[in-house]
This record gives sequence, C-alpha cells and structure tokens, in this order.
Amino acid sequence: MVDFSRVQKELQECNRDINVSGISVNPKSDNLTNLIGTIPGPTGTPYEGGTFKIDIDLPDGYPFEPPKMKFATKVWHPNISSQSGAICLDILKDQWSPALTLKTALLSIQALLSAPEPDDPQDAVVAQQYLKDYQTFASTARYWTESFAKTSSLGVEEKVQKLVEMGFPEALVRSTLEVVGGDENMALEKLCSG
Amino acid sequence: MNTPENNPVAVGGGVGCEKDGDNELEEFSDEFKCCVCLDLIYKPVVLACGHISCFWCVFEAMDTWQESRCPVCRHSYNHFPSICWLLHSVLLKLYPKDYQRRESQVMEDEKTHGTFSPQFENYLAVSNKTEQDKDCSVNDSLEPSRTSSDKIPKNVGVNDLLCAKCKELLYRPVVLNCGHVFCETCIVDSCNEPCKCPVCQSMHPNGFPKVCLVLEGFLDRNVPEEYSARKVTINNLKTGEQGSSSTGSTRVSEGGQSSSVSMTDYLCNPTVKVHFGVGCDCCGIYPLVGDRYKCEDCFEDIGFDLCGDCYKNSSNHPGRFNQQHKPDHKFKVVEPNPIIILSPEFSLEHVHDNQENQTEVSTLPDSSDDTHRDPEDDVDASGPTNDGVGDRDGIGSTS
Repeated sequence: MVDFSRVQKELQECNRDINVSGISVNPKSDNLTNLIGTIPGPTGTPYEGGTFKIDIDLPDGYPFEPPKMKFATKVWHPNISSQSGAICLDILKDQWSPALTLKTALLSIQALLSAPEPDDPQDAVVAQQYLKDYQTFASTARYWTESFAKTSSLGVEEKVQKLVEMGFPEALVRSTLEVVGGDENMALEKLCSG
Repeated sequence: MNTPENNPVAVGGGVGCEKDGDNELEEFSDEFKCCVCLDLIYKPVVLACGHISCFWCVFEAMDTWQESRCPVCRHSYNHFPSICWLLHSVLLKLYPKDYQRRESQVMEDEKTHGTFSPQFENYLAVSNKTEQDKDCSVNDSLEPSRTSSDKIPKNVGVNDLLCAKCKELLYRPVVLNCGHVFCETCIVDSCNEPCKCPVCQSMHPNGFPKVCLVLEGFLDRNVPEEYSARKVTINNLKTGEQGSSSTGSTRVSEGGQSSSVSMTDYLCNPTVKVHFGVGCDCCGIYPLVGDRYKCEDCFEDIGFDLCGDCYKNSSNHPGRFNQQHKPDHKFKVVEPNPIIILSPEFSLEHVHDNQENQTEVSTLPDSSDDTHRDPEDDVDASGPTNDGVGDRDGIGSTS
C-alpha cells in the first residue's frame, strides 16, 4: 500500500516552490499512484528551453521502493531510451533511499540531463554518437528538444483544430488533450497509439 | 506546515483525508520531521550514524536480505535500535497535540496490521525493576503530562535532557542501540570494546555511536546557557587530564572496527545460519545470524526470537513489538527457513493474499514470523534469486 499521506505532503511541498525550481508533480488522475512530473531543461545544455514530462508510477512499497519514472517527452540522451523513455539512473534502482522524494528524484534526472554518463548507457546508439560525434549529438538533442519539449504557444482551440485537421474526431481530441494536460505532442502520440 | 491553496489533490484513499482538519496543530520544527514519512517523528529511533526516524519507518526501511542503510546518509547497520524514550518524552512535551495525533494515527495502523510498537509504560516497568531509580528523570517528566494536560510545561527544560550516566545536561549526545542517551564523553571513558550501555549493560554493536546532531542542535538552541556551561566544564576536564583525549580517540577507532561485523561476510558464508526476515528481539540484529531461539509461548503473530548471544545472556528486555513475553516462557531452536523460490505468477497471488489476510502467513510451512507487512511478503513469496516479484532482487543491475 502506497503511503498516500506522504505522497500528498510531497506534492504540496514540491509545488510550493515551483517558481524557484521549475519542477512540478501532479496527479494524472484522481488516484495518487500515477503522476506526471515536469522538469525544465537545464540551461547551457541542448535541452535548454524544453519542458520535459516524466511519467511516474508509484509501486505499492513506495517510499521503501523507488518510484518508476520514465520520460513521456521524447528526448535524445545517452542515459534515456529514445524509444521508451526509460531512464538509467542509480537512485531509481539500487541506490534509492526512502529519504529521497519525487522532487529530489526529478532534480537528479535534471542533473542527469546536464551531465550524461555515456559509459553506462541506456540508449547505445545515442551514447555512441555522444562519444564519437558530439556535435551531431548536440544538434540532434537540440532538434528533439525543439520538436518535442517546447511548450507550444498555441491556444487550446488552435491545438484542437490542428489535431482535427490531422483526421481525429474532435470529441476524442478534446478529451485526449485534457488527459495529457494540453500538450499537443503527447496528445498526438496518444491518439496515434489508439 | 500545510498550504492548502497549493493542494490540487483530491485523494480517493482515506489515508490523507483525515489530515485536512488538523491544520491548526502546532507547527513542528523541520528538524523533528521524519525523513521517511515526512511527518512529526513518532517513537523516535536513533541510528548509529545519529539520524532519527520513526520506529515504524526504520523498521520498514530495513533490508530483509542484506545490511540496512540509513535513509539519510547510507551508513550501514545490522541492528534495529530501540526507541529513544528521552526523545519521545521531549517530543511529547514540545508538541503534545501533534504527537497525540501521530499516536492515534499509528495506533490505528498497528491495529489494522495486528503488530504493535513498544509501549512507554512497559519500558518504565522493566527499567524501574532492574535499575530502580536510575531512569527516574524520564519517569517524572512524563507522568504529569499524562495526568493533567494543563500543567505541561511548554518548554523542555534541562531536567528532560540529562545524560543517563553523569545525570548532567547532555553534552554532544549519543544514543546507543538500546535507546539510552549519554554525553559522548561518558561513553568514551567507559568504552570497553565493543561499547556497552552503562545503564542497561546491553551491547552497542554498531561501532562507536555518532553524535545525534539534531538533539545537539536542539540543546544548543533551547538551553543555550546551560549548554555552553557544560561545554566549558567538559573542555576543562579534558585539558586537566592530559592525553585523555588522544586515548579516547584511539579507542573510538578500535571500537568501531572490532564491533562492526560485516553482514555481507555472513551472507556470503554458507556455514553461517542466516534467518532472513527474522530479527532478535533483544539486540535487534536483522536478519538474525547464528542460532535462533524462538519463544514457544508468545502468541503474537510476530513471534519472539532471540539470537544466541542474547539467549545466553538471558536478557529481560521487553519484545521489540510489545509482545507479552515472560521469563518463564520456553524457547526452541529453529533452523533457518529454506529460501523458497516460487514462480512469479504464484508469488504475485500469494503476496496479494497476504495483504488481504494476515493470518495466511501462519499457514505457510516454517513461515518466519518476526516481521510483518512487506518484508514478510518478500521472505515467503520470493527468494533472492527470484526476480519475478521483489524489486529488491533486481536492483543490482543498472538499466
């Protein structure tokens, strides 16, 4: 059984200094085991300017077991799978401690964006590119940030229109946009995957 | 502590809901916030590294399969320390309402799980019997608060913060495995390795204890004059006894080395019996290593077990989980449980059953019953080589 009173405290605390950290955690639905975290891409990296969404699943043993986290936003990084968003980070595995929180875990992920560990890769292709051709890596990462992690300046109606033009039914588009919190890229992905 | 306006959460589960009405409780200081449950520490346990957490939080955070690590600093330890009743009394005095809220919260949890944490009254009964008035400071400090809540002194005074040995104000407080609190200097002086509690004579197996910085900070802030006076006195004593500090420090390192038995060595040694999921109710070693003596007369689900050393020393400690163990109870030697490796499908079902119905546990062959909740499920349902269920089992691998 997840310790919900602790999760609730974590959410309150994290969202209190959202202006300073830029990191937020919000429940996906009305149950507190599925959450969405957001982190801003660190400045001075190819991820600068992007807002990255992270899917958080809390296992029954939380906080004595690590939360399951993966990138919902596509990202080009040696320690993050470009396919699944899986993250290779020790504190999400054997180095987890119950004194860590969702916020500190997200901060660590943010730090991972600034300091990739290509020697312990999650995505071998990206890691190879990082080691052999850093310039191409950086520009690909920047391009992915531009394409997938930039919060669109479009209003809700424009997003709906855009997706409807792609051939999805309007009602479904609206409900999907709502579920993913207005992110049209995530909505598109969800609509495509059915 | 809570800022309701930022709270977008409407919780379905009942756990968090009851909290909302409690916002008018005293605001407790962050230093007494448990790093695990993020609430006011209830029944404080101080680890050898000096970090404090709740009794149940430490219990749950301990590792079934290997050495446990402090949630804050990852300092390894093998023994579940006893509750520090001095800190318990201090917290009860500082935040009577909040502490009572925590008490009822935890009591409810304990009732659902059928396993209870030690009660202060039982501790007093035992310690008074064995040490007569040695612990009267703690005793006196609590009783008035129980009888008439109006008379509780709002602030904690010097009398609540005395060393169990020198009976002076604590200076650089260290908390031993048994939960007794001493000045750091009071332990160094009487330190035979491994160090022993001057009050209850129980071993402190986790190396030389580190100063509990939270308690030290609290002393420094709440009784500043008395604390700095103590500092002067002790420093004078030190300079008076030439060389005592240097012998003290060498003893410290020796004690630390000799008494820190590496659990990993045990776990890798096939000739040593390791009882996964079982702890000693006296010294708190977990998992229990060597001979396991199980009480045949304690009826509690969690059972009552002693390790070989504690059995031989015939300690009269109350159980770690408020078992009604009596000196005339009989023990039997129990062999370690074979590690059962089950198929993932079966394990999952089984874990599920266990959560719904705690009594299921006892129907298992040789079930280890010194733990409950998750560790127990792990023990019975999945062996260390089974990575179907326990996340702990797969944690060795990166990515």
